[in-house]
Amino acid sequence: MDSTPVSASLAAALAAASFLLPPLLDGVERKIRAAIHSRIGPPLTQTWFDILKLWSKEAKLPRGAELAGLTVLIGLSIALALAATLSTFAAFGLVGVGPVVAVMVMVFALHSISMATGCASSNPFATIGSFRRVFLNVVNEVGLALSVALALVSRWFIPSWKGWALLGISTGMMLVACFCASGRLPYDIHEAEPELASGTVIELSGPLLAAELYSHLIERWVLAALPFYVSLAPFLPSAWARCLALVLGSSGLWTLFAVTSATLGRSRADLALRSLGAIYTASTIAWVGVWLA
Amino acid sequence: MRSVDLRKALERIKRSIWVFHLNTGSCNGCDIEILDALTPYFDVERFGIKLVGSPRHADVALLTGPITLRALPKVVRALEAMPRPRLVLAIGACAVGGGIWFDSYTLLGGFPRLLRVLKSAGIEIDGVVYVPGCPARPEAIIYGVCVLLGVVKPKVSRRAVEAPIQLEVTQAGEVRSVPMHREGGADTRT
Ligand code: SF4
Repeated sequence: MDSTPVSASLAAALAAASFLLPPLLDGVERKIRAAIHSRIGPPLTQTWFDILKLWSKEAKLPRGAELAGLTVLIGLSIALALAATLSTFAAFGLVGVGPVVAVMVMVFALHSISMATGCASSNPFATIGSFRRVFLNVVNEVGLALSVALALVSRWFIPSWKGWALLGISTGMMLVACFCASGRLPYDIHEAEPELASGTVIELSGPLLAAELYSHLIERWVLAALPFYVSLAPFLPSAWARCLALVLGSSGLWTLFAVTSATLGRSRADLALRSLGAIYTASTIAWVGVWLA
Repeated sequence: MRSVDLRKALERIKRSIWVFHLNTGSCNGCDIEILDALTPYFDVERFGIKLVGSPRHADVALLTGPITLRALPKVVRALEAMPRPRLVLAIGACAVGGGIWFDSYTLLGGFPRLLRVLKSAGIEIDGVVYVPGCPARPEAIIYGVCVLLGVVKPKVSRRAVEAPIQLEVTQAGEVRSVPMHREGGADTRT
């Protein structure tokens, strides 16, 4: 068992990593996409350069969109709090039902606030963009919540073979849900905007855009770390192992998500209702089938 | 609203250049060259250059065309929407000086004239580079961005010649270009 000071130091280190790593992992993702295109691509630190540049630019917000600016700042606060909470829970071994539910509530709060950013903007294109997100969230949030709940239930049956099989199915479902919730292709949110000329962030500029971009990247890190926190961390005995699993696991999963999204085509978000609905229904039926076996 | 340190922002833009494509009435020749410059073949992302869909996100406007009077209000609004520091790359003979339509009654005729309109509207442009050519080559466009940001020095000097045309603001508040050799203007051409 680790002492409290060790866990506290590890929690602080993991929180710092969760603040610093996401833009670098985004740099890795851009490098991977470039490699698939046979390009050199930007440097790994490019996303940090982008954020710092945006931070030093002028913030222009049209009249009537002040609320959208406020929601961006609330979103950033939730994202930072979420990453810090997840790090603390993992370091201190708080992996029971209560802490997992608390993390999930924060994840859903972050998704809701980013939908609100578009709706609060005075630009109708931003509202249209947020509907893309609504369509995706209608089905994906259900899948994400269900997969986490099934994983929690699966843990009761471990160490029997049934427990591991149930955990495997729910974790697979969670990986799909986390991938889609991260706003990548085929249901990308931010990257779709240059083509659609619409999206929740269309009116944001300078520091507000930097804040939105940064909170979105932290959200991606949390979604990449979530399967390891829910399905792996409870079985690791020390704080060191849990923190290491979260850092290495999230980086590996981020890379896997990057390769997957770079090889997929764009799909309409409204079609997600059907395709993701089918995946989650099939996974749930398989889970129930194994449970009854 | 917090004040912007333009020098610091310009220094940071050198490593992260987000461009917005602004067609002001071009024949699409230059636009195709811009799209070419943005393809994986030239891989401008390695310089930090990225195409964005909103002027609010942009650092540099890639402006093509001779600025038709129809497009003028939208062009002014798009440039005004860009946060400072805002930079402009005037691409192609049309954007540089109106091209072969420099004295047409339907056009403003090139970015230098637009600059005057922007100035009168209180819209500051923090840097302009002119990329000539009909159309401008993708290499020239990328080179122009680097010159604009001070990454490389320009290889050629610039000499501006004023075309015989004048701008007029009508009573309805619209900007009109009046060729000076036509009715209402003195022909200064030799
Ligand atoms: S410069 Fe030439 S190619 Fe470019 S918009 Fe004008 S006419 Fe077309």
